[in-house]
Amino acid sequence: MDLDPRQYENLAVNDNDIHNIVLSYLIHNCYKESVESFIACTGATQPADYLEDMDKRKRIFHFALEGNALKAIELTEQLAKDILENNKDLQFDLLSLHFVELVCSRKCTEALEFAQTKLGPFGKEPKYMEKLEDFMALLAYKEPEKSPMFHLLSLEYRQQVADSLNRAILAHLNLPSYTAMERLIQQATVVRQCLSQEAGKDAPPPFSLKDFLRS
Amino acid sequence: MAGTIRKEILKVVLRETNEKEEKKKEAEAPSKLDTSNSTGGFVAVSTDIMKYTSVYPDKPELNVILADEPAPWKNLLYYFEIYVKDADFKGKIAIGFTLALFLMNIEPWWEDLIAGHESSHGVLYSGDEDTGSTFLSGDVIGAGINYSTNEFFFCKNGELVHSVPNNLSNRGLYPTIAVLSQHEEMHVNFGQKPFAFNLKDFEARERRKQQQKIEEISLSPQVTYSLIRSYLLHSGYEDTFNSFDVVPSSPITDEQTNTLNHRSTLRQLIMNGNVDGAFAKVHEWYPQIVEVGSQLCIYLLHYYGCYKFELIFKLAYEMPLEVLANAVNAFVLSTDPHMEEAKDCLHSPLERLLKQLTACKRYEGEDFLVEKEFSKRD
Repeated sequence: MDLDPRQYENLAVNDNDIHNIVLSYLIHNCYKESVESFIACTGATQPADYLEDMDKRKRIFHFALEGNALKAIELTEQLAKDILENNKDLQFDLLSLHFVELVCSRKCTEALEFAQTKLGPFGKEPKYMEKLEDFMALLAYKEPEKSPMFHLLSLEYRQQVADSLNRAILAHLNLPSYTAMERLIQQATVVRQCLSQEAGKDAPPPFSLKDFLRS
Repeated sequence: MAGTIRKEILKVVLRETNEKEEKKKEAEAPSKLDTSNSTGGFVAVSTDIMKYTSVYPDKPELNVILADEPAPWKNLLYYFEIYVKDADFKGKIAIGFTLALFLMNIEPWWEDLIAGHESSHGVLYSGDEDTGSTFLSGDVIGAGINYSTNEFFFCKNGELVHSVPNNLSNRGLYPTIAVLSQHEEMHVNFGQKPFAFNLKDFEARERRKQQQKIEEISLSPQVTYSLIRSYLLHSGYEDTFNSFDVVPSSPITDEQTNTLNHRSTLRQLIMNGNVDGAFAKVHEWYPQIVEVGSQLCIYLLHYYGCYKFELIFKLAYEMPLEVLANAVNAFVLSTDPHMEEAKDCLHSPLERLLKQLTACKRYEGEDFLVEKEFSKRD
């Protein structure tokens, strides 16, 4: 008789596994104090590569998150010149963050000049053309926050770019660019979806992470 | 001494049991065509060679033979092949999967099945009439089930030629061969010999697709942040929680912060081996636990195999300190009036998620090792 996966409560989970998942998340996201405190609390094994450039990554991440893209670019290039050279998408995203900051500061002339000199060359490729049009459209509004492209000014957008930059740096350092935590959630979601499909009509409602976390 | 001997005996017994289980598992996969599981006319020359001769020489008759076992379903793929040694040039041969019930009422389903369409009894494939790509002497034809995409797939001479959605249950599908001819001779391969079709490459491609599907699921940083936060809060790692919780998130779970300092102290005492000190603190801070005040507390005692709270500490020297610390943490959380369910005291959402994934993976037949799964480089 197969174990019904819904009876998961009876399964034992190894504390070390949980500790490693939490630690990988804290390291990935540069929570340096939390890493040190967690290792002290749990006696978890300190990964050999744990401190590797964490302070630098943290500074770069926060500059990108605050919208100070030029500083983030400068520090990234100090850390490893070829990260941005080999990643045009990321380069474009960071430069566009600076453009957005200029627009938000109502420095429209400066923003236009910056777009022409730094973002313009990307326009030769169709995939950037569409994005460029969205960014340039911000200049047409007195209050860009109320424009249809308002999401480009959001913290979520900056977070997205900062995350991509952090992942690129981690990959360059030959460290995992995704946390165990993210993989865990993604895998659980897919596996649960597959099981729902297999069970057909008798299946419980489709797996929803939001509902699961609320339950 | 006696204890050591007992342990050794137990090891041997367990090993034998495991070996028996392994053998049983192996025996469950199809290994041959079963003449007793057919409509007649089939004769096994050897375990892998099957001859068919129609009992009515003047008119071809439809006959079907199934494998001795259904396809194992706890895999990513299942596949088998036949080599058509000698085919009746006027006849038809088809390959696929059917449910055992199929044999009892074969005729009405034949037309549907033979065209490679699925019926409620299974699916068989006899090649493509339109392109003239039917199965002849010398052909190697294969049929498989792709459990990750829920499809049946068919191959001819090592090439993938056809696939059909699988809306049937994954269980109880028998590898099946059907003939509508005067005579046939075929060699069956259930994996005892290398296949003409490169199954390894196909499986690797399917795994990559599956991995891609996993990686494409987008997650908001808030989800991962709140899972980690709730874990630190739930487990009583106060210092880590305080340094982590720079941007306090929604106060949904924050009732737990009321006891955070106490739980942190108790965990530290226990992890440092000071069980008596921890017990004294529990007596001082939470007399209601010691007196087993709530239903929740009774449940937790049952969960940890005790009937009195004191017994938790009596067992302390037999259970790992981490387990003891988790037990005490759960009891303190149970004093919170907002805690309605035992599962909320016992495990954080992160732990529940990991338990679920492990259970699901085991159910799907995969050996799931967290360490292997999540420590690998991208």
